[in-house]
Amino acid sequence: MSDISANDTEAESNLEAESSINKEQLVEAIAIGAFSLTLLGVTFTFREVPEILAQGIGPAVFPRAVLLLMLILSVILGVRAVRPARSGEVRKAMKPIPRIAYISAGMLFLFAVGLLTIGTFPSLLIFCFALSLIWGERRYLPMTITFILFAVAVYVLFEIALGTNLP
Amino acid sequence: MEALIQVFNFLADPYNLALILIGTTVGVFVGALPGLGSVVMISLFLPFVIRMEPVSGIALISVIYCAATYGGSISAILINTPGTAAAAATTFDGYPLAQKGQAGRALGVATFSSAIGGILGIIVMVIATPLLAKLAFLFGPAEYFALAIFGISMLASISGNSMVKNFMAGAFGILIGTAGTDFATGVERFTFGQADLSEGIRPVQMMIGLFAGGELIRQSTKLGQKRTFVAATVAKLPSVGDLKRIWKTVLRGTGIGTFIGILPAEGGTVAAMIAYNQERKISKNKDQFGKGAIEGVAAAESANNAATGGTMVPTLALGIPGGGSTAVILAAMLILGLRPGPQLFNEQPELLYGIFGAMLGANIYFLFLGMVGAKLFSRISLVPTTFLWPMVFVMAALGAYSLQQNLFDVGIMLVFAYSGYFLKRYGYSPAPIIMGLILGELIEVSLKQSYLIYDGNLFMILKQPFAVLFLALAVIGCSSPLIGKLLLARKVKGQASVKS
Repeated sequence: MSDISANDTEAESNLEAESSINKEQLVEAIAIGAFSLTLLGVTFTFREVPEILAQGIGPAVFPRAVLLLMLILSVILGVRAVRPARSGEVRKAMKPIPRIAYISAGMLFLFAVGLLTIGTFPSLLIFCFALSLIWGERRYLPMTITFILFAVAVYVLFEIALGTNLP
Repeated sequence: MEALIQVFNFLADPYNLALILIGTTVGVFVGALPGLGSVVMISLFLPFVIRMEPVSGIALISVIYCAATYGGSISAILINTPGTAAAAATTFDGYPLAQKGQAGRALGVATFSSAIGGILGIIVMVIATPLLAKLAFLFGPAEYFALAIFGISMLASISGNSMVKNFMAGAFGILIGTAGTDFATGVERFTFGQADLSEGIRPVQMMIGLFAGGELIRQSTKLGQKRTFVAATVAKLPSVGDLKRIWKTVLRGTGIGTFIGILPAEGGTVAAMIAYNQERKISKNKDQFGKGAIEGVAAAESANNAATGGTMVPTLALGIPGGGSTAVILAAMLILGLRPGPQLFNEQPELLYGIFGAMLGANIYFLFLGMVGAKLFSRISLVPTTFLWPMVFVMAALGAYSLQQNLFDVGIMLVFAYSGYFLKRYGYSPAPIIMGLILGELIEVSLKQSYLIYDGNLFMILKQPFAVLFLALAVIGCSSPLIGKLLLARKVKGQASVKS
């Protein structure tokens, strides 16, 4: 009896797996398809080629071919996302993106804004300290020494050695 | 013979020797740091390299590539985390050896096998590259078109990723390459009215963003990971007994590594896995594999280092990158105005012999460095992520800025940093994107030239024997993963029916 119920449960879970849709991959396929279609539309806005230069393959042909390829690949991705899972195939749901990744990505953006507004060295020091702290670092003295030495190295390398006018 | 003399002339110059010493030390350092692989470091070096004299610049990043491949074995053995993807197979037996208190022995075997594999791979490179380049003299636009298609087709078999996703990433790279002003007609494509985009998306900013920026965001999600460090002893040169056990393994690994390396798009990671599996199949000590077999370490390390020479063969002779790192090296060559291919051998032989010499010097130097400094480099693998990655990103952003002194480039780098993270999260590697970026231009240009040469009849491409050969190889390349799956399914079915 227990064997039968175990088999039933297994069959049910297989059925569940077989009917499940890989939602993440489907969204991915739709997003890529939409991206490709949008850019395909953009290729029709390319400036007309003057007749004297209009020999051979036009400037829009190659990008269109690539975008069509991407579109076909996105359809394949989509089909694979909705097809029933094969026996033994495990479709693991992707873990959500951790908050720290968004914060870190935001910090990169703020660093770029900092370069534009307060200049290289203040934003460098603030960015390095802030990101390090956000990532859980609490060894303040080594942090201070490392990042100040790093700022000096950046100055020597970019301003003196390469002659770059840093913002 | 002349090639060898040129190589030794390069090595006799003190400036070149200094470059090799610096590049190798940086490379081993980078390789030993998990996450910061050769591709990231070469990308970070690009803003500096393209200001250098071409021979020195390209030689320097080639040295970093070689040394980082070896450096990856240090963290693979001591903390069970490969410093580079190519060292993943080294963890299988390297770490168990270290756990048994034989870290020095494992490091010694890895260093010795890496150096021998690397040196033999370079010798093959010195011989094979000019030969392949001579063959390339026979190539016209049709052959280059077919060759680039073959290069793209090899993305299908890059391990660890879905074939569709690899092709998608490659197509995305090709698409990015089309942005900017069309060289033949002056028509602007995908510039969206931005004057800064009229010259296209600059590969340096893109590569820095994809590799370094994307990796920083990825590293932020790994902060909780704990690494178990096995205390290193000084690396020991393999004993006579160990040498007797591994010399055939090293030669086999070198052969596999060089061959796999020469195939476009494949690289050290694939080579090391194949060599490791092959050795496990034929070894007398099969049961020891995974528990600390020195043959496992020797196979993986000789193969991935031999592949560094192998990957340079199609890169230099044909302009078809052999892998991720060589794609970045190739991009640097193109930025410096060097078009790889047969002409390069006639026009700038010193560049090629410089690369050969630099890589040879790097292999010899890291043999010494590994034996003497493995203990020091093992400590490097413990540099906190919280210190390292903020600085890596600052270098990336300022490197992107410094080329044109334009903040728009920092913006482009940032866009690709975000893209790099999301693409990798969803299974799209950055390496096929770079391959697509480089090969896309070759495909478009050679296709347009073929169209003009054959008066609009592109089917004439199929009348060129070499083009047909490459296209046939491309079909095989595309279908090989599918054929592999079918064969595996048939084998499993066969075994199941035998059991029943």
